[in-house]
Amino acid sequence: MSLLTPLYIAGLLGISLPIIFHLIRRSPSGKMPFSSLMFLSPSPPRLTRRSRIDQWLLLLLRALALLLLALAFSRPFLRKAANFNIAGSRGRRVAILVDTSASMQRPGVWKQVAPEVTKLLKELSPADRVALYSFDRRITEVAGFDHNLHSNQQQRHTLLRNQVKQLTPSWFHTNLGLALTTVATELEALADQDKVHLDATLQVVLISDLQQGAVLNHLETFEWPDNVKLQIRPVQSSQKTNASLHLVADRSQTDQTDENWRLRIDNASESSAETYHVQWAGNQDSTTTAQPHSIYVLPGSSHVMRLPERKTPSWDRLVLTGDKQPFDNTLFLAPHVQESIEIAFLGAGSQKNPNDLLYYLNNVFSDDPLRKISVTQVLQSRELGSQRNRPFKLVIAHGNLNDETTKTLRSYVSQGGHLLYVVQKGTEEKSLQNLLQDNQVRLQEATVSNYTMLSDIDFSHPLFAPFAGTPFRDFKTIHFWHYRQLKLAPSKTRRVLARFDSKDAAIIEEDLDLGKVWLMASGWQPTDSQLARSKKFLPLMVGILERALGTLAGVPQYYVGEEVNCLTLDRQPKSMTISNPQQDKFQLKKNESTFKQTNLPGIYHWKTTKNNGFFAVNIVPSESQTVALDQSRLEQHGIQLGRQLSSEEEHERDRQMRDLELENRQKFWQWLIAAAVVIVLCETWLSGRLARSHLNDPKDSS
Amino acid sequence: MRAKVVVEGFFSGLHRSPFHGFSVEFSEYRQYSPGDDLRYLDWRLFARSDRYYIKRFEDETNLRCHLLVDLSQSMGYGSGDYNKAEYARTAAATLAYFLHRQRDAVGLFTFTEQVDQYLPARYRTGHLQRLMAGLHTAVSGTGTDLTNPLEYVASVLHKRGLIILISDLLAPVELLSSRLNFLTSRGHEVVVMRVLDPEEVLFNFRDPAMFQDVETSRDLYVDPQSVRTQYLQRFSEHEAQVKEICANLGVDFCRFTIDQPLELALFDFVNTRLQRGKKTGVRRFTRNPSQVGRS
Repeated sequence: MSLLTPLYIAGLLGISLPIIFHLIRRSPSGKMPFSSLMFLSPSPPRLTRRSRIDQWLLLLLRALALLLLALAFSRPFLRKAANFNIAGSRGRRVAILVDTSASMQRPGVWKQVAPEVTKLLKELSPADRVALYSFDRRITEVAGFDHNLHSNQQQRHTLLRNQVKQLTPSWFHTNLGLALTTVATELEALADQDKVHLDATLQVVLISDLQQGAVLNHLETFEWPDNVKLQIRPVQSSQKTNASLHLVADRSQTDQTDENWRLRIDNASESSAETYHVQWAGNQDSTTTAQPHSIYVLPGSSHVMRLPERKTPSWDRLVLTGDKQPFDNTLFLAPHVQESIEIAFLGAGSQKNPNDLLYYLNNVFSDDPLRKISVTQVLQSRELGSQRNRPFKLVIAHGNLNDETTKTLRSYVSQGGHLLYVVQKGTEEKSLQNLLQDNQVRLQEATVSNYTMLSDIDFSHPLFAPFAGTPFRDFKTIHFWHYRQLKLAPSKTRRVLARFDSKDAAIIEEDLDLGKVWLMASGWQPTDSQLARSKKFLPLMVGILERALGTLAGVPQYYVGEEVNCLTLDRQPKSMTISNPQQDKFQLKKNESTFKQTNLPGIYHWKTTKNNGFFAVNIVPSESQTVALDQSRLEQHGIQLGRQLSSEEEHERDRQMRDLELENRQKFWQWLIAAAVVIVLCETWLSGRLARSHLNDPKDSS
Repeated sequence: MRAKVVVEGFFSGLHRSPFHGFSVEFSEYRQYSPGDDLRYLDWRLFARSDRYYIKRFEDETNLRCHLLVDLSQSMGYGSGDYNKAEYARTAAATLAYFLHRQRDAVGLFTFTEQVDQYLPARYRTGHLQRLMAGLHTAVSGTGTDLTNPLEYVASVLHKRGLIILISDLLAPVELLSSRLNFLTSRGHEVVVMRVLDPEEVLFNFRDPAMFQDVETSRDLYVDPQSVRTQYLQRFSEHEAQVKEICANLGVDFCRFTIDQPLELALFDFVNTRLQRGKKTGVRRFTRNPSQVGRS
């Protein structure tokens, strides 16, 4: 005899209740008024004698009824021999996914991971096999199913525990969707292909802080396999208060400066704090003297503000205080280094004469926060010498050049210098031939009736690219009164960027070794043209300067894990060396223009032969959304949450099913209930009879 | 019914007066002395003997009887069909009627902790109805205290008379002696009629119960089986003390249990008193003993 629901047997305890109630005390039936209690003393309740139980038969009937009811509810049945084969069970295949994203660096979170894995391993049965994966923005297989298949389970688990201990949280964001889809696919493929894993049940165990910022995009197009179940073992931080700092900006606009940046402070909805402080700090001086700015942000909302003033250019980070989770409290911003740029103006001319070229240059090149530009008039070509500490970034020359000057300019350009040569009236053909080392160059003053204009402009060239838009491409308002007719043989290194109406070349670009020479067939002063007084002049000259500098103005911003296109840092990223915040140096390979090792947040320093600069890498803003993700969101993507049963549990479940079936067939409970009803009827009849006789006997009534 | 002690009175009646005065029954002669009331001068004797004599009569007075009826809550207890208070009222009414028929003045005190009602002793038309109405007061109060009522009675009654106290006497006896002494020392004859319920005497309860004091509403869990002996012992001690006090003060004590028929109980009581009256030489004057108990 077995019981399907043995807990109901506890109902047998009910039998003792009438006996206990009877024996403990005969409770006073209401109050008995009496004239005076002066002769009475209290007598404590006491157990009445056993012989006081008068109606043994009634008691027995009631106890029997309770016994039968309890038995009926416990659903008795007769067990038959049944064999369950558990030898054929293949066990489970359990893939443990450990989150190593930046948010796991929160206090108290990571140290829960190893105990959680140990606990999980203890719960496994001998038939189960385990693989270990870690994931942040990508998924990494730490220990697969196969490599430990034939070793002892104890050894396998020790190995896994050691491997978990070696893991550390990274600074990358959480791509949970990618991790889940990859593991689910691999598990399914394993079950399909490998005979060893055939028939095994598939389980994914996710050990993660399961933050709201986790990326789930991959799940949207993924059909979760039916035979894979996901068990979530969340590891949570005891500190819920979290605020984070981020830039609000279009990062493609690299020329933004501090004035354009906006700072966003997000306060998590679970935070208990509402007031935070933001202040600038430098790399070295952790105890900065910068004035902290107080910000009031309600939990669950954000606050956008201008960047506080960066009083010291070396300050490169904004630090948020008042927060319990420090991993996202620092926002790195590349330090401001105002570059000093010197431009040489070679040749005669006065800064005060509006008919001279030099007159306009000072007005064109003005300073900005990132650049300090100065135009220096150089009369002697030897002043351009390479022994100077700071070489001229651009040389602007005009007029006749003697041999020495030509030689100097030639070597300047060959070493990577940039020259803008304006062919003036009376410039000798020879100067140009020497400079370009091309004897076929022919030069003569062109005959212009009234005026001529620019046409055939190469808007695909970087110099004219800014004018490619329809509102800006109109150059017809710029009239040229005089120009020089240049006849140059076509060459691969020589490009005509613009021509006059007469198809004569107006602006020519020529690569000379490492450097560049731009030839202008006409000057910009009013005696030659209206160019200097047009709106196109300034962007054109700045474009030439930027081509000469090779760098791009601005403070580039990147996220951890993002590839840095080095062309955005320098136009010629050859032999670029980048050092990360830990001062590890990375040399950019040839023919490679991307830097991928942005593993840490901080300020990275890059350096080429000519230039150097900084760029800042910050953690992805979504990683700061540390509020726990609702697990139902995973279910919405079709993921089956839950735990696969181990072979023992399956065996137990089958046994219970069989018991249920047997009991359903036998149905002893019906007979028991019927017997109980009969006994209750007997009891009712007997007690009624006894009550009547009791009433008839007045002695008993007292 | 006759009182044992001769009481003051002026109206001719059944009871012998200590004063010599105008009466139908001659007692003696006394020589006249100036100042005597000339109305009592025996002119006939003066004519015969030429001496002034004053006639003295044995004055017959009527009885002044006061009924003190306890109408406290404890008197409201009764295990049978009627309670002690009803029994006491009936007894009081019977006595009042009986005395009234004998032309005795009857007064009434009802009391709980203190005297609630006082009707002075009178013999006049309608007084009996007032007494009856007075006896109809419901039981009340939160206790029985004989001390204050007896003090009050002693202070109010200046003329000697018969005082019949009808109560269950379920109260401490410490001051009972002194208060009864107030009455007896003033010359009152005091009779104590104790009215009790049979359960109070026998304590025949069987089941344990929460006993509630009807006066103070105090609850007490009592198993009668275990406390019966103790109860009976205390009760008899209490009654013995009461009896001793009464005996010491010359106060008549009798106990009625309310399951006794009232007429028989009163008949026995009157008979006992009459017997005692004979022994002490008091004149018997009852119209018909069978009238006792008709109230």
